[in-house]
Amino acid sequence: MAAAKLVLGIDAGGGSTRAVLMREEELVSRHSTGPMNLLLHADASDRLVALINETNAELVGVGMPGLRNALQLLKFTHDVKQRTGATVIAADDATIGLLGAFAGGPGIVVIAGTGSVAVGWPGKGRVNRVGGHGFLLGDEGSGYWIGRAAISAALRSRDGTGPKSGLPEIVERAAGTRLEEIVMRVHSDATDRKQVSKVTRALAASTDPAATAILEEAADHLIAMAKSLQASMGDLPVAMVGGVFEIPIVSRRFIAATDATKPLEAPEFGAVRLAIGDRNARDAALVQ
Amino acid sequence: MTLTDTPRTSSPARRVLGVDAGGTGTRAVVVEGDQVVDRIELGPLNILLHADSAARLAAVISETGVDGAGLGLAGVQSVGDAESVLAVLRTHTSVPIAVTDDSEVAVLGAFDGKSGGVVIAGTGSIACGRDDNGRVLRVGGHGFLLGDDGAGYWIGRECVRAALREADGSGPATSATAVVQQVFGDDVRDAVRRIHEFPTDRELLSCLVPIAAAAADAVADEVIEGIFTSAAAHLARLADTLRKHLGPIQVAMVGGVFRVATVRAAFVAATGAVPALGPPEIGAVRYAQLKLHEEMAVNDRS
Repeated sequence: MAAAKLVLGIDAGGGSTRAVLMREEELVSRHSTGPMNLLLHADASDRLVALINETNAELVGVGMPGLRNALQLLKFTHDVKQRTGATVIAADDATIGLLGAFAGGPGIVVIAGTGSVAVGWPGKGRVNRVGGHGFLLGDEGSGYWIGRAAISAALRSRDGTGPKSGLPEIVERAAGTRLEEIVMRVHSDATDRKQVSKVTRALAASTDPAATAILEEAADHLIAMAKSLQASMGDLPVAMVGGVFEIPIVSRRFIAATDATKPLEAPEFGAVRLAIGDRNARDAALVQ
Repeated sequence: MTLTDTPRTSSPARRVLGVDAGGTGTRAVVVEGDQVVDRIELGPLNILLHADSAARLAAVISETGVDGAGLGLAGVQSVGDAESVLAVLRTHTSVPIAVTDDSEVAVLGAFDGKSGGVVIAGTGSIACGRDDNGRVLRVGGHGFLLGDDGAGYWIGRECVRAALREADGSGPATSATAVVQQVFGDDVRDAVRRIHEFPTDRELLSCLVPIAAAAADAVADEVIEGIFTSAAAHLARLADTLRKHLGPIQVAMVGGVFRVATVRAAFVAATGAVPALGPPEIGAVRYAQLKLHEEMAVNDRS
């Protein structure tokens, strides 16, 4: 029986990776490590294998950002199985967020951390997904999006191509350097998103009207994602996951529009559900 | 004081090299008096990216045997940048050299040294203007992650986003999907992986521009037309901002994005833009004539 096995649930996020090791209902240990994104980090598989070997897990559920299609999913799970001997069931990171948020039940979850995506599952069939196209193409309303929107608006304010605001000063104070230097740093390593997230944190703490406007626009993008899924799948309950919802301006506006609740369980527990899951959870894990 | 009536009086037969160096190609001309006597094509040359840039530029300067050279270099973003390039070049050659960025030489080329502004929309976008007093202002050009609205990368990115919205079911059907498929394959979601695998390969997106233009020419498509119109509006805002600061200068269009008929027409309608009189490499010659003349004037006084 699967229940007596050591089960590892992994949420390999864009900002950090969290894992829980469970035996039946008992939490054996918690683990955390750096971010793993198959699109961005070449060593993501290696670090995942190291984590599994360290915990001696026999059964592993993993939510992995950057898993885009069925073929990639098969290749990835096969590779990890070969190298660990564990049974591995993988899905994209949004799916385990969903499984955790409604404890395996139907619903819609909007995830807004470094990136953003919304997924919904009506209780049978496949998971529907909106957004989540990465920081270069989408991720509207995400932490990266907020920081980048603030830097762009600050540049436009200083240039005169956009409205004058307090953003240039807020952004420069947050980054500890001049706008020209920020532009250089952001472009010098496009995959290093630390510069931008510093600005996001400063914006979250600011009361400047221009900062509030960007945060409200972020909330509106996230609301639109939830509504788009409700339009295609029916009026499912909505949960919110990720650091962006810790910003009061965003979460208040989001809740007002969607009646969203906090997730019942964290995504890493959703990954455990994926691993030990009933048929429903397995169905939901299929990448569309 | 304008450019055209100053240098020739002091040295009628001076040979001057003008270089417009960019990430996709580098063009150079040698001008003697008012005559172009030589044209040279060099490969892509970006002082930030290519370590051998200075040596290559110095070689061209020596080989052409010119009395002075004006260089408009992509990647030069400040007076400090220009001075460091100059310092390196001086170790290779003693020919007088004037260095600026590629946008200022584009203005000087577009208006033959007179006041005016250019909106440049290639892979990235920037506007640069110059008033009658020689005051130079740059607007935009904040790079593909933070600005460059309306440029080639931006247009390509909007096409991919439109295709993804169709695939998601959150946007209308559009021929942008076929455009993206032509480059990235049948599953438009593969574009997401490819683009994030090579985040700084901006050609991956800007190469979609002519394909999208051709698609919209063949079959009217509201989504693509909307992207082009919005690109023109972003670019027109750059022109407006130049005029706000420099007064009612004329504005010219430079760069591949303006080859898209819809963008060009909407931009001209919004700004009354005119075609450029001459190319940036000629502007680089004008820059050299202007700067090296000023240098000489200082020497004469001392």
